Amino acid sequence: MRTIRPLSPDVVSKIAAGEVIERPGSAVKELLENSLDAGAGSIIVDVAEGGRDLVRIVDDGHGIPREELPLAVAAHATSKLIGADDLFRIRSFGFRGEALNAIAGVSDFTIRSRPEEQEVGALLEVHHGHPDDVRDTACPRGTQIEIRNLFASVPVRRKFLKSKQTEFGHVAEAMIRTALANPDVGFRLVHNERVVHDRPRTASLRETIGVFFGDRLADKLVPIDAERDGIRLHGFVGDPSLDRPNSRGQYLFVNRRYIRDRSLSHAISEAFRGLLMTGRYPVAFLFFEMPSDQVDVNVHPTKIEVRFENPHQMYSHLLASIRNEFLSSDLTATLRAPAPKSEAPATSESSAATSTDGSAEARRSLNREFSLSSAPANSPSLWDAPATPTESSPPRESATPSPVARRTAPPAPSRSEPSTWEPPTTREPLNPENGQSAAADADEPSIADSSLPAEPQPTVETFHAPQGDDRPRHRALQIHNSYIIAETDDGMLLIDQHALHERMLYEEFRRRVAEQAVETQELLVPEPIDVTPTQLGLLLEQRAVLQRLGLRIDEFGERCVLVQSVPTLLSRAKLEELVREIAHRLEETGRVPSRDELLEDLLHLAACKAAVKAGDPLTDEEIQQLMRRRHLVDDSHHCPHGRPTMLRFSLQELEKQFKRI
Amino acid sequence: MKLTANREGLLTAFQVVSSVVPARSTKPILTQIKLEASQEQSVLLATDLEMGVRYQVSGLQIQEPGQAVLRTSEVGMILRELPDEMLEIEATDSGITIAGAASRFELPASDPLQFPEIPDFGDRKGHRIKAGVLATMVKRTHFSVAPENSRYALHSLLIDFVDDKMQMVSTDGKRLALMPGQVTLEGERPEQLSLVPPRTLTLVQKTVLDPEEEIEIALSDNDILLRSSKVTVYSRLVEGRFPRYQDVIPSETGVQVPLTVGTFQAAVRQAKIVTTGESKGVDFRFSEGMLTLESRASDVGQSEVRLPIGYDGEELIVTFDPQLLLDALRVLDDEEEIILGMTDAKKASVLKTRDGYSYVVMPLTRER
Repeated sequence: MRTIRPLSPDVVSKIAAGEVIERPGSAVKELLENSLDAGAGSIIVDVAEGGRDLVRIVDDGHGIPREELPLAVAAHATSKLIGADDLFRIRSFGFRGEALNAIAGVSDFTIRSRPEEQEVGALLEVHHGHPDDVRDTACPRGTQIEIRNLFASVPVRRKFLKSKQTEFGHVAEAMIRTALANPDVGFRLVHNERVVHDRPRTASLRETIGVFFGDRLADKLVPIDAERDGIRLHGFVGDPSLDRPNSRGQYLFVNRRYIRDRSLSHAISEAFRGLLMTGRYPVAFLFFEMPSDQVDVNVHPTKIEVRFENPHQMYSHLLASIRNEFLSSDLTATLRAPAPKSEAPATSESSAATSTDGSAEARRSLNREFSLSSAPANSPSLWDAPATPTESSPPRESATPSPVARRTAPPAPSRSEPSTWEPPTTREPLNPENGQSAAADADEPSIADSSLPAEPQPTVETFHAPQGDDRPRHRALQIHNSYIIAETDDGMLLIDQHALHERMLYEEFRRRVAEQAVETQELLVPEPIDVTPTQLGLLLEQRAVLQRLGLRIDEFGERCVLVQSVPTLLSRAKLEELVREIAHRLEETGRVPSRDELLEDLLHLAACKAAVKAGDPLTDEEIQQLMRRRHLVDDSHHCPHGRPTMLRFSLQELEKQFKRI
Repeated sequence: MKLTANREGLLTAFQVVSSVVPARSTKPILTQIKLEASQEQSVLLATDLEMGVRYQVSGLQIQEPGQAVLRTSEVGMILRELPDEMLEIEATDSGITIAGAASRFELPASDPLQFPEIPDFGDRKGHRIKAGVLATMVKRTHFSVAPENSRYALHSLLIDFVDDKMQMVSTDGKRLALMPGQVTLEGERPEQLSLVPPRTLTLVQKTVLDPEEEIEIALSDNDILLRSSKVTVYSRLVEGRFPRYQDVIPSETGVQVPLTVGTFQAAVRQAKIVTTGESKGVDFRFSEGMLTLESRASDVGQSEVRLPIGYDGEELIVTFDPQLLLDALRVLDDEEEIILGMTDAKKASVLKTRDGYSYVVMPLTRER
């Protein structure tokens, strides 16, 4: 029998290193946080071969006094925390006193540091946990740390490092997260002696995002800024067209600390529900600022997960804030006619020119503005003139706490913002009680809104004002059996008939399902539909959900279901096709989706199947009906697939095109 | 072939026949119309291989018997556009010539022998039914045929013989219409049910003006032949399973409400105003002496329509898609007395007339 012995410090440090440091990227994260805690104004991360060979972090922070260097690499030694009570008032990033010790235990580690007041820098080398003596060295103010041969003494872990590209990806990700959270610090990332990212310390959040994710993405962000119960939420969410196949485009920060939180990610998805295709995720850069005693960051060694005092409050705050922005913004894509060539260099002037009349300011804030060059979905052939990016300055941006790049950065032609849009503040904000319970489906604000009696809205665009049938009928014309051109008070709309109808059916259907008022046609002669035995099983399993949609099915032999009733909303859909498609979808999903997810999924599917298709001729009556009921759907500007449903041409733009003005 | 034709007579025949001609076909000759001319009789023929029609043309003076295949659109237009009373038509191997007093057309000719045979009565005998009776049967069932390319077997009119009557039945799954008609059987009463493509019957019915004229119907296992004095129509039957219609028609209903078509129809039409394609339901509330129709569509408004009725039973509310009722009411005379039989809000209701017409409708429900 073996005896129990305390582990040697060497082994302990290797175990601890495994928890905190699993790859170069995590070392970078820890070191960046140290630099920030040291008050660095600019930080350089220099790595070679994805960090396997070298990680070097250079900062200009306050440095470590010569006599404290040996302590810095000792276990559980930190300058950031004194007593246990401080744990609940943490304002610094690191505090556990593990990082340097852990890294030094598994690498050839060199630290150089010089505080301002110290004339000569000090250098300490640690070889896999064995420190040398401190020596003098020449070094600028601040701290430089070099890590070579990471995990050379822990072959198992070194073996598990991935390719240098993957490891570099993690390094870059660590830096991006840190840089996003720290707008006032400059960051530069160098890989194999090539500068990959360079974010100056003067950059705004939008600019920062542009540096790391490209200007195209940065230009399509919707600012969010809301405060509730002492918790401020600000940042950007991406326009639905920026969807991603996974949630990695979502960056959440609490008190400048990057975190991951399932519940908050879910809130983001909820806010985008109906605007994105299933399986697509929105892009978001969101920052919570909250009293540090309302969040416990000491629940995970890498501090990536935190615990909130009131997670539900956070959820509803996030959901309500994003949704509020969406509900109040008109996502109708506006095709911006290209400005005449001569004006091209002075883009900001041309945008100012459009706001000469009083309403333009408001309208611009309502409209999502598109330039042809950045909107490939639009038909460029409509305009023969070469597309010129049109710049617009959303009026509210100056008021946001993180001022937008364009204001501080010198104007460069390549950085114009062709498609900025800004939500208006004209609509009544979502009331907090509604938001509180927003986790429940029935409280969908869109549903609540559409059932409200029509009230005049202070929008400039009369077409949106829900005035029902009193509104004078504008002319509308179907072209190519696919699009509807509709006259509006100040221009025209080009509408994708399928997308709009689908969206309308979807909203209506969803409302009825929520109200449990799905009108259903019972079948006199039930319709048998052949399916595979697997599909049969899946369909029968989800019978209750299907029944909520008005589709009642029964088993009929081993490869056949009998449809007993059909929702009248879907009378245009071909039943057989619809049921097969549903069966197919159930098969694809693989796992058992939650009821709500499935319901949502099926609503999309059904709406798509039942909607008029491109190519279906419409009667005048049908066109009028589409147009008349358009205002009922509060976010009909995107079909459930997230594609735009209409393009807007203002009279002013048309007149400009024809050189009348 | 050489003949002189009365333009209008030929045009009428041409138009009827061309309704069978397929717009596109892998066999190009099918997109044309064949003319067979002899001293005894002259016929125009067209077929899409599923269905074929032979139309007897009168007013032809045959100089040389023979046959020719005519291009449907060109010849159709020539017949329509020319002002002449009589036209001369001549067909040789090299081409077809059509000439009026001031115009002359030469069209390429196809080989008439390539034109497929269209089955005819031959020595088959048909059951006889009056054209007027057949027309009523078609009119009262045709509208509830399932649309094409949905449920295959239901895109048909079912013909069934019961006692000395022929019955025509159609359903699209939501409702079912049945209309019987007096028939004179020729030989044995057919046992099997026949699913007839609806256009077959409408085509025959269109060519008959006199309701007293008798139409012959011959059925086999897989085809049907119909003959009027002018036209013979052949069609393959629709294959597939038609639901057992007898089981679908409720034999007993707890509630019977006598109604008059005209007033009932007017009330239903009013109630339909406040419905939409997505929100169709109208609540039919039957109470003592009064039928109240209530409808509500979230974005259109609501309505209440009342109609005094001869009913003194317990209150019953059934929700219908008004269009389904209107479809049937429209094909009945305004003065006609009908009985609406119902059981409850979930079961099928049936509308009956004195002459044996049954129309079964499923109600709408709200899924909870």
